[in-house]
Amino acid sequence: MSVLCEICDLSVTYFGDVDVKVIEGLNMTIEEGEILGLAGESGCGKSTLAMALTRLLENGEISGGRILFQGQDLVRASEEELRKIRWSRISLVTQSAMSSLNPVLTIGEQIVDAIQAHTNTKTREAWKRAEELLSIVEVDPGRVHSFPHELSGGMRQRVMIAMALALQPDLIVMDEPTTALDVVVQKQVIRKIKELQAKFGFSVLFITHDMSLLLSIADRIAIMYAGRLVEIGTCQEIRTAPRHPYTRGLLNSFPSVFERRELTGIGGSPPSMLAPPNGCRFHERCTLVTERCRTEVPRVTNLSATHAAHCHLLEEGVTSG
Amino acid sequence: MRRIVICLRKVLRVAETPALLEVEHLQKTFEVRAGLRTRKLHAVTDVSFTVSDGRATVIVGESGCGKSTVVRLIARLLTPTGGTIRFGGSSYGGRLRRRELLRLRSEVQMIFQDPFGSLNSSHSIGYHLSRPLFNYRKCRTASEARERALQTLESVGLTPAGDYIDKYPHELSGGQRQRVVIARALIVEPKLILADEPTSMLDVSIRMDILNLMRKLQRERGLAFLFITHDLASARYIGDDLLVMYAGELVEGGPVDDVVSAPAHPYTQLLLSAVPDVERNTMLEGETAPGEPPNLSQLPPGCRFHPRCPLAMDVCRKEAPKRVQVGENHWAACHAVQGNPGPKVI
Repeated sequence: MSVLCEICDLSVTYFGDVDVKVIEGLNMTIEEGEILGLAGESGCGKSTLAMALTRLLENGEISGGRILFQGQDLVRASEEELRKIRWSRISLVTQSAMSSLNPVLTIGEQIVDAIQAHTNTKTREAWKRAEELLSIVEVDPGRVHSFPHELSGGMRQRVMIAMALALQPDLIVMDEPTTALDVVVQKQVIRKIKELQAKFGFSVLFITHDMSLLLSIADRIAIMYAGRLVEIGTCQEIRTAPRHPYTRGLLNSFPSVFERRELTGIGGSPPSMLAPPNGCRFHERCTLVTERCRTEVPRVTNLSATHAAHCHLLEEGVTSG
Repeated sequence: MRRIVICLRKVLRVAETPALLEVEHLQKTFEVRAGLRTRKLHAVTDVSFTVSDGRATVIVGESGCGKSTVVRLIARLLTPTGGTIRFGGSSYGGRLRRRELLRLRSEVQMIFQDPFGSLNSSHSIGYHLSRPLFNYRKCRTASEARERALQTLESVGLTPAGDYIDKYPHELSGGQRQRVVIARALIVEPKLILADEPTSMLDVSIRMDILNLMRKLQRERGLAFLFITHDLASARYIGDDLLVMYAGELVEGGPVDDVVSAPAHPYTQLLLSAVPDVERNTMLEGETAPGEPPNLSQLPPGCRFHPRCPLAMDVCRKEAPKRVQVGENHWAACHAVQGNPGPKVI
């Protein structure tokens, strides 16, 4: 597999009374044709990453690093260049379809609008394409003339996916696309995403806080904590051999329906990003904390060709648990 | 002769220890204004179940199935349209006088979903905890209330309690606030606690903390809990008994291990097959039922699940299914389930 998108040393800062660095020194690659899962708690910067990748940040700015997408640096791209990339090469599906869809336009009008804003397509063809897209996601093509409020939650989310697919992008960033849905509908939507991905070969950056969902669908999983990447590996590596204490804690926070076992979760709560802790950001909640963790930022330790984690214990070669 | 009858009655009463909470044929219909017309929304239709003393019962279902309405009816935040609610031997069905309401609420307390919305930002934690004590006449003096508030804060893990009692909600994290909400429910020493999705608004790493705390309190104090959740995994983690709700009705119920390991109702099977799980990767396999739960204003006749059910037969479209016993204390309401029609189960 080749690299589709390479994120190098990315930092994002939000401006306000106090400037807050919500992402710091993030390195990650997205391969062609994979589903990369990104997990983390609220406020860890995972949605900010989605916004940074699509260059849609509001009140914030990329304060360092590069995003190389198919060789082109998105951080330095002009508005005109971005307009060509957005939707046709990178598209975005957000959590709340109701607030992403315009309530006073029919879904057909919105799909056509998106197609025509980014390509030179004739109106009649664009409408035909809109109907085709709806049938791809198994929404009755006759619903092109429906307004968003006339559709159920699951249908709206499928319309969002249809819109994201409109110009056959290479990367779809999905920010909690199924969080607002019930499990049965979530399963329908996830299977649709998997099926379409196998058919069209696009890559997905799938952002969610739900580890159990990621373990079921992702090829690789990245874990973020308080603005930094803590661990990345294949789904199998994260499931069976998580190395960072936070990843372990996170896996220990999801009970299983099928097996009853005692879980402990993680003590304490995530730090405020206004004053993030020094050293390793997880040290205040870590049970294996050492003096070094409080002062020094851990470097990356490569555990295999695909598996890497940021933890002092791994640097020292201490293997715990 | 009369003596024998009295004697028999006594024996019978001992034999069948009454459940703490008995809900029978509970109904709630809302009237929704849509322009000039009003339409009826059947949020809860004919829900019957019991909660035994010292057990944790979980109602699981998708959004809009009526599970939150059920607990709000039991807490009498809403007035039922029909049916009976018996708690500790007294009936709380129709309209209640203030005195009855106070008596009910001093024994039934509720934990809400949103720890940010359920505490008043202009009052201190100490105030939040002492209010129910005075409201339900559980204590007389401010110093006694403060003492009890400190004790209760300690018991929910907010230690040292002295550091928390004078704080305001905005100074606490989400997990700490939810602990305060739990303390507020516990402080009047209720017999039953109703918890409506108590962890769904919290960060994932904190959820287990709160679930573990509630389980510990439930076991230590022998409390009865009625949890509402959409998450089968946490239902399994915390519950003794499980009730599955679909479109305003209960479709299956029983000890949680039995229901999860041998789900009888097709809807329960569907839910279980759709749950993403850290242990098993079943999410991408198997059939998915088409469609979504029905509109509560236009409920389908017969079994409400029949439009989506892979086993639907003619009878399902006409007749509402009755509960069928499928195991010890385990029942399902489905025409396709073969069981012993045996005794009436609630």
